[in-house]
Amino acid sequence: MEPLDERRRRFAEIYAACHDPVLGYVMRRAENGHDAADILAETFLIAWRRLDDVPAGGGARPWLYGVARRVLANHRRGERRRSALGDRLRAELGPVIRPAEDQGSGAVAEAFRGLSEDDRELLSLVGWEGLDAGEIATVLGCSRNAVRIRLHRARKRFARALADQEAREAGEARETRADTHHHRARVAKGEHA
Amino acid sequence: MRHDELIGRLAPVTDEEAARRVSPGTRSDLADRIMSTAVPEGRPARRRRALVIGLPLAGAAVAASVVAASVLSGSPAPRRQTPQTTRSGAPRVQLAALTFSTQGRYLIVKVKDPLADPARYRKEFAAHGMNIDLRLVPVSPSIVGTVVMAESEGDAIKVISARGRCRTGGGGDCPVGLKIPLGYKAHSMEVFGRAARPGEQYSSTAPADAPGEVMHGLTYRGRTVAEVLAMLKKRHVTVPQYRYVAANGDNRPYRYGVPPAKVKPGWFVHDADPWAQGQVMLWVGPTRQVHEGPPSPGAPVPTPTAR
Repeated sequence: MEPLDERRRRFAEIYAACHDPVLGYVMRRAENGHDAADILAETFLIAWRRLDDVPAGGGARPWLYGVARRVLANHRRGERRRSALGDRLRAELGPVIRPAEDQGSGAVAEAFRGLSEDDRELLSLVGWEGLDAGEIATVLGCSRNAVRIRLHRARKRFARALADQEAREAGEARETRADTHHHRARVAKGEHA
Repeated sequence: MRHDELIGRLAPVTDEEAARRVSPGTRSDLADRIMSTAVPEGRPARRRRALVIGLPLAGAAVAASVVAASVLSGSPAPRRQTPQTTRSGAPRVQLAALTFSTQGRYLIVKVKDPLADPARYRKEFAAHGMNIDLRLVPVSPSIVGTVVMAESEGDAIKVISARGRCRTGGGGDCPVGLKIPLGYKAHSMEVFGRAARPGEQYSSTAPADAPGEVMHGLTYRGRTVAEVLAMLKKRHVTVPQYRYVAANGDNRPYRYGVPPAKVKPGWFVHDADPWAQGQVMLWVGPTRQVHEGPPSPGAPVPTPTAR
């Protein structure tokens, strides 16, 4: 076993290099700032506990994304780790992540939203985190070849969805010339409870 | 690639924007807090495997469905003594803590006894040739016996869900067991929920108003603190912890929670979370907020751009 000081030094290095990218990854996917704080704290706690498994150098970032991805999935399933670790962070990130303006309108957003969760995650890892196939393989725990094939298919599906969406919007604009925002129906919380 | 760029522009925040929201103090504080947690001992692996011999093992003959039902039906209160009594005892006849059954090329695992000594779960996994570290954490009543967390490399281990068995915080189906490929050798850690002891803080919770939880059936969001406390009193539920919610998201006066004495009866309740047996934590603040509906069950929760 390596001495504690060595562990701390290694963890501090990984934390310094990867805190912002992992925070970004989590904030782009979490429902709100509180969740993001919990997920970030949990992800680095796992890294601390499993320090020996964290790849050296540039491999740490995709490895941490992989951990964050699983923590996020657990979180969506209902797991809420409420350790005090993330309390301060939770306070700073606040309940809301996204700014008021809706970034999710337009054909690209609609097409993207219509993809499966797996496709969205793959394309996000490229478009948002800027990962290559090898790094994505680390995140997803599969082979590089599998990533290439899945990525190819996801891109094709996105291109098709985008073309469909653009055609639809052009058609709608012709028909009504009205603004056609696609709002998702949601039940107000008070009514639901 | 044009499409990658288009998708890139959908990102709700960049790394830089995210980083700007965290102060340097908080950033180093989190690292310090993490590093002050206990360093785990080496993996519980071969050394312990030798002890498995002679223990009664869960056979595939056990009907998993029956067992799953017994876990989920909830109140394991009468068995609370068992962990203490078994620990000191010499090897004796024990019921299996887990149930295993095979389904095609998978092993299906459910927790039969959510109060057993964790060492027993490890032994039973080891008996199936698996290096799976199963842990239990105290959880709120409606999710006792469910999978709280799964941590393994890759996606080989699946979680089995049962729609409607419980309501999870994330709105997904109730995770009732694990589906592990036969011959799975890698190390993984799986965490199930167990009943909490009196006063013990939950590590994981279902929504406070989910069926089986202390606030089930109460409409409390947007009501005043005084109103909600009156409702809770009737149910003998107390509130040891408050969190502060400011209209603009800036909770600086009370970053680490509001002391109960500072909470005004006329403030509004925004949210609640089970805290421990008969206790909930409330999110409160001076302004009434419009509450969005919870995501509908089974909906793909956070598309990055969906609102």
